[in-house]
Amino acid sequence: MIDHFRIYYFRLWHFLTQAGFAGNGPFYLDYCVGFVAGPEHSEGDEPMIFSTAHVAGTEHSEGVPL
Amino acid sequence: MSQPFARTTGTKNNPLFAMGRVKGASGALLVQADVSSIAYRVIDSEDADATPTTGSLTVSSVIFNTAQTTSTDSRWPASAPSGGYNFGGKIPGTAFADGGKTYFVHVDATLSGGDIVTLYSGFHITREYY
Repeated sequence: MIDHFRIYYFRLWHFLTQAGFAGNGPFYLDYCVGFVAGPEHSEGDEPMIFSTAHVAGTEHSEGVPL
Repeated sequence: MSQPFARTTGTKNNPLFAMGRVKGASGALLVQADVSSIAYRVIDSEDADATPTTGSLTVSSVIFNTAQTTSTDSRWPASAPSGGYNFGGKIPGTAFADGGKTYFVHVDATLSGGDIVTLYSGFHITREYY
């Protein structure tokens, strides 16, 4: 006898797994920043909208459209 | 949502410490068990014929199962969104051998299932005079 119940849940599990809905994936980069040792340090995010640049010491600028 | 993008400045041959926060759909952080390998690529953005500098990073050394925050690593700037980073890897200074260049830096992880996810993406500008 065909167990339709099990087949249904296997198909559902397979679909969700293949589509990436099961578990924690899919993954994405939420934020990134770089650090450069030495006198300068700058960072930025979303360059099409807003960008920041920090220079340790006397200078600090932000909101520079790229 | 567009992908985050970093911009850094340094002298030539100065290494870059790249940090990224990578999450999954559930909001939980990417962890070491999710990743099989990590590779970086540094490209001279103004010379399409230049050979990219490539290399690999050790998963257990650069993926953190718990977030690294300003309180545990001062390299994560206080101005960054709270939550810290779970990828932090050094791109060697030899990848930035020339001054006065704009390099495109990209770090990718190949996941256990074969998918590729970006861990860091940005421009690194080397000063011509210093």
